Amino acid sequence: MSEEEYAVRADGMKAKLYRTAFLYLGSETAAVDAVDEAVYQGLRAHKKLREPGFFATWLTRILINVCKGELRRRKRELLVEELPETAVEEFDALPLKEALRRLPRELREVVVLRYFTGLTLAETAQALSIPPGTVSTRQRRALALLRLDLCEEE
Amino acid sequence: MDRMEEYRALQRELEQTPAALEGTLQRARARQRRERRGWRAFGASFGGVAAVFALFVVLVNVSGPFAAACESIPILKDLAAAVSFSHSLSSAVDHGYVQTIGQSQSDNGVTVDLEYMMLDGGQIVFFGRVDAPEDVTSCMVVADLPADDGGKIQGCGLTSQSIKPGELTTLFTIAVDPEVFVFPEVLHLACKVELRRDGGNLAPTHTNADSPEELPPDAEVSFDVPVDRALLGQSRSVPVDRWIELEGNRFYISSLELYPTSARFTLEADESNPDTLQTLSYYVEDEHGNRYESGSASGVFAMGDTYWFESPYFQEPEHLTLHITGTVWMEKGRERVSIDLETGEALGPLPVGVRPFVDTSAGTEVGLTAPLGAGSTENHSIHYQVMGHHYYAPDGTEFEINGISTVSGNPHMGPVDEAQEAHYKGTFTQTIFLRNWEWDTVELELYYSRRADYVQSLSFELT
Repeated sequence: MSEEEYAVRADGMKAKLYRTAFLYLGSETAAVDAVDEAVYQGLRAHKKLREPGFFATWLTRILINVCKGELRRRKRELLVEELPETAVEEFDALPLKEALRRLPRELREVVVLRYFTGLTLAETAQALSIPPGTVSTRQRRALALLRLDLCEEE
Repeated sequence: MDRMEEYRALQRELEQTPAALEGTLQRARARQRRERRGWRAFGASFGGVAAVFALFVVLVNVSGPFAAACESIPILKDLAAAVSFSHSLSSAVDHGYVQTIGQSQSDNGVTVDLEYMMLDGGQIVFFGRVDAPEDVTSCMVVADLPADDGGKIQGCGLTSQSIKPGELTTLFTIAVDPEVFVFPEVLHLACKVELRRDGGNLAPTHTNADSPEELPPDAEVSFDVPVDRALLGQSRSVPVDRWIELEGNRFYISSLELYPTSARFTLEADESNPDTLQTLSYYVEDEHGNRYESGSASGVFAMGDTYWFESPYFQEPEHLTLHITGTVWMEKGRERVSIDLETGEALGPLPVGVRPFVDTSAGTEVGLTAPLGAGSTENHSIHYQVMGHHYYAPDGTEFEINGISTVSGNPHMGPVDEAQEAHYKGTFTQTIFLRNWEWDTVELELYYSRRADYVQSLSFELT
């Protein structure tokens, strides 16, 4: 992939990447910084992407790693405490945005990619490096906790 | 507002992107330009020590006479002996591709001398020695690379091996995924030293960090090693651009990535392939008949669909041929098999020669029995992976396999049963324990559905 091709495609993905980062990190500033970092890392590595068809999941995966790095840096601040899956009533009582932020990490990232970033089940599996079956299981659990009646198919 | 209305409102809210997002690409390009200028300045942006050894490396890599002078330095000759097991590393030493660290740390009567490293964009190999009390027969330096916030840096794997105290040798290596790993300015290495006093060797893998059985290390030391970013640019991408076909499956190889101490290629599978390639046995050969074996000094043979081999970086051959000597396949759609825990029977097809194993005499132990690998003898059994990484309950719940037991011959405990011994002769069995299992079946993930060894290797010209 040429640098120009990368630039066009990365630019076209900015909004999606921003939505993903915002839901991971919870702030506009942090999300813009994360998108900046991911696009920069992608620019450095774009020549190594051999299959342009995987571009979206590849760049999304870079963004997720950047977001996870930021969350680890923030860990000491304990900005948001995750609720356990058994806290069904507590999830129910929260506004959706807050409930989403307090989902266990592995459930939250599946919901974010599937229902806010628009990735298919297969693309989500690829972006998170987990089997499609695991994506399916986690999205089912997350939607149940969030009380969201959304389509679970591809 | 009900939940679906909240969902739609949140989606609308997220569609409003901040103005700052518009400059993302421009900022990325500007940052890349700044980094390129910094690299060209070599030591200009580094501190004292880093600048000195950056200059050392540049001189060694561009100056023939200087490199020749290095070869006569006794220290590097010792290192040459230490890397004689690896064609890539030996070649790197011959060409002076060695960076001096020269740091030493002690704790609890143990001293770790971190003397050299070979750093390139694909891996980092650390050389040194451990001084320990006289009764220590072997030791291992287990390194970790924590991020600044205490978490883990992504895109790298660290490996260590059992070594003899006092010998200059490979202490540990860091294998890197260049698409993910971001080299820091300084490598902060946290090292735990484990000692053995009974004449045995420490296994090259370690128990889960959460295991209650894990003992504290015998010593802990840390090192800060500056990274010379000029070395990261020392690689070559050699275009291949061809498809190969293996057993009815097609793979695309776009290029070879050659680093000074390792090399790799990626087999991109055609999505319509009927099988998933699980294991590849191979080597690469140049026009002079030089073989570059699979794997690397870091112990990595493959990362996903990327395969490593000994590097021809310094040899600069004109032609390279890939020779495939064996393949292991998983037929898509046949990745799992159900085992009836009451009858011990498989409820689906198993690979040729593989049969189910169930023992409920002490809890529920389940697994698979397979023929020993080719080349096994009475005194040396060759095992291979039969099971995958998960098992499943009938309700679909997935469980990760955290520990597999592997036994050659009769896996049943208790008094010797001659009929059983005969039944398991020439086989090995891999098993797992099912704890608090409520069901009468379990679904095991298989690692393969068929294996192939080629007497005459399958050969493909790469360049």
